[in-house]
This record gives sequence, structure tokens and C-alpha cells, in this order.
Amino acid sequence: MTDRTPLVVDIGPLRETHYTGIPNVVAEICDRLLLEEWLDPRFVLDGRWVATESVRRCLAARSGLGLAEGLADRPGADAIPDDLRAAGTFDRAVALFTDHRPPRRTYAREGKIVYDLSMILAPECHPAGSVAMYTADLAEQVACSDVLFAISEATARDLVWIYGVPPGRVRVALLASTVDLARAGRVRDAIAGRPVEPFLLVLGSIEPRKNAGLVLEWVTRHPEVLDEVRIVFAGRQAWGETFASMTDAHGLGPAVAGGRVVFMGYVDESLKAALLVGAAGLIYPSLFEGFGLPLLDAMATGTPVLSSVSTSMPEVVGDCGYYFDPYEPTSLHAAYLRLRADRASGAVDGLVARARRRASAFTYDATYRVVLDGLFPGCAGGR
Amino acid sequence: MTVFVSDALGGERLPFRAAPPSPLPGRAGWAALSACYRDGLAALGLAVSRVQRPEIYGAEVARAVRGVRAGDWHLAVTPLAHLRPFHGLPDVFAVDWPYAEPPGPVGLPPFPDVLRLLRGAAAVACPTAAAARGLRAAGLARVVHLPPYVPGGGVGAPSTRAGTDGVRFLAVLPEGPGPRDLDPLVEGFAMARARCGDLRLAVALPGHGPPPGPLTAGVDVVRAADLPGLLDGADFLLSTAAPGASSLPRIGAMLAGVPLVAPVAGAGDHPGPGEAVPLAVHPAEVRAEEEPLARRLALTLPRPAAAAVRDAVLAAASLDPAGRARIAGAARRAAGEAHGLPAFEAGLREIEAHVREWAP
Repeated sequence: MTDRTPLVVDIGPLRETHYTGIPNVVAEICDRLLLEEWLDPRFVLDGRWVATESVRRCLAARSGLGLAEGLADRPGADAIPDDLRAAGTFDRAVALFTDHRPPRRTYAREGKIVYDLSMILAPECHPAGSVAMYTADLAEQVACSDVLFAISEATARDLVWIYGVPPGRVRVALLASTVDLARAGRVRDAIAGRPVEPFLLVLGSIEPRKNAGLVLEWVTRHPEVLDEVRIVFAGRQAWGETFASMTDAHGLGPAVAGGRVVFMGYVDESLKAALLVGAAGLIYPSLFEGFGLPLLDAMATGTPVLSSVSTSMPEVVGDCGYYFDPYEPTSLHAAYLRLRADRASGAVDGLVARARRRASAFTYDATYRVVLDGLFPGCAGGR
Repeated sequence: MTVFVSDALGGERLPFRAAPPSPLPGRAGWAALSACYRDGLAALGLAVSRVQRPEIYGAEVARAVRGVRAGDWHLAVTPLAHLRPFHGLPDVFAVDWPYAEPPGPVGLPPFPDVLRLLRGAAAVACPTAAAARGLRAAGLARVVHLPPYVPGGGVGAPSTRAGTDGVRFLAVLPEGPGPRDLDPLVEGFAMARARCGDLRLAVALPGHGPPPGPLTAGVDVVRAADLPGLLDGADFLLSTAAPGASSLPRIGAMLAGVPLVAPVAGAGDHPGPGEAVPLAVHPAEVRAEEEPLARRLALTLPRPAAAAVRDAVLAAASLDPAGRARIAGAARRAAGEAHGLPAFEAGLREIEAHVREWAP
């Protein structure tokens, strides 16, 4: 019998080819728990027990491409309890589900990460099929989790309101930025103070929840803005109305043809860092977020943020940004004018410095501590 | 003081779309109820601000950006599945519970326990006294009967037309009527017409666009977008709707002096005896296998049988003008009293008292 404590981790999000957003969060947590010598980690992906070495490789590559190889030949996840029983450690096994989980309990203590409940509260922001699949047994998943890790106070509040979860069962594990600041620094050095034509960056996939339409509506009502700045949209075309159909509907064809409104599609982490460094500001018009990582990335990079005031975003931005109502183009315009005035007066420099300090206070070490303490309460992280 | 009213459903909550969303089933009824409530609030001097997604303003700075001030509150006028909170403000949820039985402690997707959500509200506003009784019977406190404010009631005398082209009936059906709603209506009317050929029925369906062709001889389909215009051309409103449900078309007809042919028994507020040509509904006629919710919740939502529709239509057609005027007048007085500003204000004051006592 081993002294190590079994921890079963379902790593569903790590199957993604490129790690951004949620896969990054899971990778950061897994990186750290693999360093814990007192833990005996067992990883599960798509109902299979994945070799730990395979997980290490994918974490190093920040890509799940290698995880799928040979997965079908691996033992099923239900072999883990048998293995733990044989080792005499089943009764103290703990499980962490980093996304979807079975709607029944297996281990002595089980935790689940909840990113946001937009599938419940804002189903119109998602494809109907995804909503049906995600929400089918969500109430049962919540009910049979001993501890729920919400990535923001806003998500915790939604858990309590929708499911009546006692607040003591919810731990708030805020996220952190993983933007490559060294790369951003190299971009800044390359620019070296040379003038860059000002542009505002809109980061996010093109889908209803990300609300790119607000920005298009704003520049349609205030075309003079396009004389001052370009608007650059960076993010993949996900679902719903296409970017082209939205610009057509707003009569922005000439602005697109003239390069005043630019759609770049998907950008990798390297290009994202470069865009953040060069941008005069980030506009983040999302209707609903569980956290709002692009805001933190921009703050860490030193880019002023114009942020939707919705859901979790004020928890990220604090008093270090320019807020607007995601339903009100006039509110966005007012935020833009405040940024412009602060640029003219130089006040923006102080705000950017504060934003950098604030962003640096969000760390994945802190996220990990919350998760570990939630999984192993009252025993100093199990150690 | 501002009342933030949320009544957007589904795709309506997505802004800046090139194409308007398809309306959800039941949408027209809720939109009409919300309009009545907003009119009532405005008539009593309260500022009204519509909010599409109240749940996103959970942070204090968000409420400041949205213009929320101390003393404001939130009124949600949506079906239960679409309820959303306005965190930091007292929530008042409008609930139109149409069933005779109180709701049990069961979930209605996506919420696992709707009663718990309602218990957490500052108040629950019911458009009918019957709904309020049902929710109180389920153990909910702070349930208030807030009748929709419908201007124009109780003024002048109802007029009855001296028809020269037969007796014209109008039926206004909810969105997405199924065979259970439509079949007894059409079948019963056809039976009546077989005995008394001088009858016509216009079935008003929600939505826009050209209506489908006639359903059967003497039964046309029209669009319900212009209810006043439709009522102008009707001698009777034939209503087979559930007796417990809030029915604004029915209230509109009563206030317009168009006599009703409708169930007068059951849990509903309107019409009462003497206020309509009665349409018999017997619980024994409930076919639970046709009512998925009834199977799940043991609820009943009876509809009249075709023979009852036939009998009621024939009884209405045989009324002389004085008889019609007597029924229409009684209905108009009742609806005017129940849906005038004083009745709305009484409910509102009760809600405001709950709002003042609310503590998060």
C-alpha cells in the first residue's frame, strides 16, 4: 500500500490541439499537481485511463495532439477504482473533474470546475445542440460534487442562484494570464517607439456571445471614429452570423475595403501578443463571461482595456479600465471618449501601470492553491 | 425610482443582429402582459427601463453603468424557464400559473427547483387571483395578485351590432396551437353550423404573413396581430382557453363590449357567471395522455369537448340583442373594475411593501 494519495483527474479540455482559454487553465493546474510527490495522479480522457507520461508530453507541448494516439487501446476509466482497491487506497481517493463529469459519485471526495453557466442563463449564445448536451445532467453533476470551483465570483453567484448550492461548497479560483510577456517585450523593442497607426483590437471569436456587433454598431453610428483608429477583429469565425454578413448589414463594406475595419480570423499566441502590444486599446464587448482572460492578457501587456461591464469582467478589470454596457453603443462611445481624453492628458499611463500591477496579482499558483485546498480541506493541501 | 423590466425571451436577448429572431412559443401573450404592466407602472408615475439581460449586472460598477439607483427594483415578465435575477436589486417575478393544482417541488428545465427560485424573490406577481392562490397553496409567501392594467375599461356603454350577415365568432389561439386546442373548436363549430348555417368563425393565430386557407366551411384563419380590429368585426369571442390562465384577448373583448362564449367555472378570474355565454368544461374530459405536463406534474388543464362548443355556440347565436348587451355589459363592468388603474395600484403597493422589506 502506497502512502501517496490518489487523485483522479478528468482532463477533457486537454484534448484540444492548441491550448488557449480553458485548456490552458487545466494545463496550468496539471503542471502543478504533477510536481506534488504526495499525490498519485491518474488521468482520464474520454473515459480512458491515460498514461501519465503521455499527459506530461502534451503539457510540455501545450497541445493535445499526442493524447489521442493509442487512447482507444488504453484501459477504461472504470479500471482505476479497481486498481485503487487493489492498492488499498480507494477509500481516500479524490477526483477532480475539469469540465464535464459523470452524474454519479465514485470517489471519497469529488470536485468539479465550473467555468460559467451561460449555457443555462444565456442559451441563445450557444448552438442549441451544445446547450442540450451540456445541460442535460448538469444539475446532477452539481449535486454530486462535494466542492465546486468557480472561476469567478460571478460564476459562484450563478451556481448559488440556479442550483441553490450552499456558498460553503463553492470555492472561487480566479484565473491568470499566460500571455508571453517576453515575446510582447520583443515586439515592443522592435517597434522601439516608432509611430504605429492607432488601432483598437477586438479579441474574441465571432459568435453571438462575444458581441462583435456592438462594435460594428458603434462605428456605424460614429464613423468619425474610423478616421482616428482602425478597428481590428482577431478571432476565429465560430458560429452564428458571419463577420462579413454583419459588416454588410451595417453598411460597413467600404470601411472593410478601405482597411479601416479589419478581420484577421484566428491568431496564434505569438500574433496575439504582438497585436496587444501594438493596439491603442482592447475592446472586449462580450455579453457573458466566466472570467475574461483576454482582458487580463491586455492588462498584463500594458494595453488599456475598454471592457463590457457584464458578469465577471469587473472582477478582472477592477478600477483599471473603461467600462461600457454591452447593449449600449452610446456607453461604448463614452468609454472610448474617456480613453481618448486620458491619452491626451497622459492619465492613461497611470491607469496602465495600475492595470499591470493588478494583472500580476492573478497567478495560477493561487488558482492551484484554491483547487488543492478544496479537494483536500483541512489538511494543508494534503501534505 | 425606476423599475427595470425584463421580458426578452430567447434570441431577443441577442443585440445587434442582422436578422430578427423567430419568436418563441407563448411570446405574444407575455409581451402583451409586460406591456400592460409597463403601462400601469408609467401611469402611476414610475420610471420604467427595459433590460434584456438583467443577470449580467451583478457587479456594483455594472449597476452604476446601467444607471441603477437606491430604491430601484426589477420586474421579470417571462415564462418560468426564462426567469433571470437582477443581482443586487429586489427581484419581482411575474408568474402566471394556469393550473388548478399548485406547483410541486420539481424542476422545470433549466431550473431544478423553480419554487426555490421564487422563494428567493422579493415578491411574486400573479396576473390572476387564481395563479396567486395556486402559488400560495404551494407554500410561497409574498405572492401578490397584480392584475394587468388594461386602459379603457368601464367607459360608456357597450355597443352590439345588428348583424345582417349572420353571427360572427372570433377565437384567438395561443402560439403553436396543437390539435388539442384546435380540433374541438373547429369540430364543435362545424356541428353548430350544421344546425344553424348562418354562423362564421375567424380563428386568429399569432404571427405575421399570410394566413393559411379556411379550415372548413365557415371557419377562416386570420392573423391575431390586430386584436382591436378583429374585435370590431366580431359578435362573440369564443374562448376555449384554460380557465386558470391569464387571457388578455379575453379581457380585451370584455372591455370592448364583445360578449364572450367561454368557461365560467374553474379557477380562472374571468369571466364570472352572467359575464359570458357559458361553455361547459368537465374534468372528466381531460385527456392526460395528451398533456405531457399533466403526466409529469399531475396537473389538469381541461379543454371543452366539441359537443360543449357546439352547444355554447348555438346558445350564443340564439341570444337576442338585449341578451347580448346584458352579458357584454356585465363583463365590461367586471373587467373594468378588475383591470383598471385602482386594481393595479393596489397590487403594486403591496409589491412595493415587499420590495422595501427585501434583504439580499
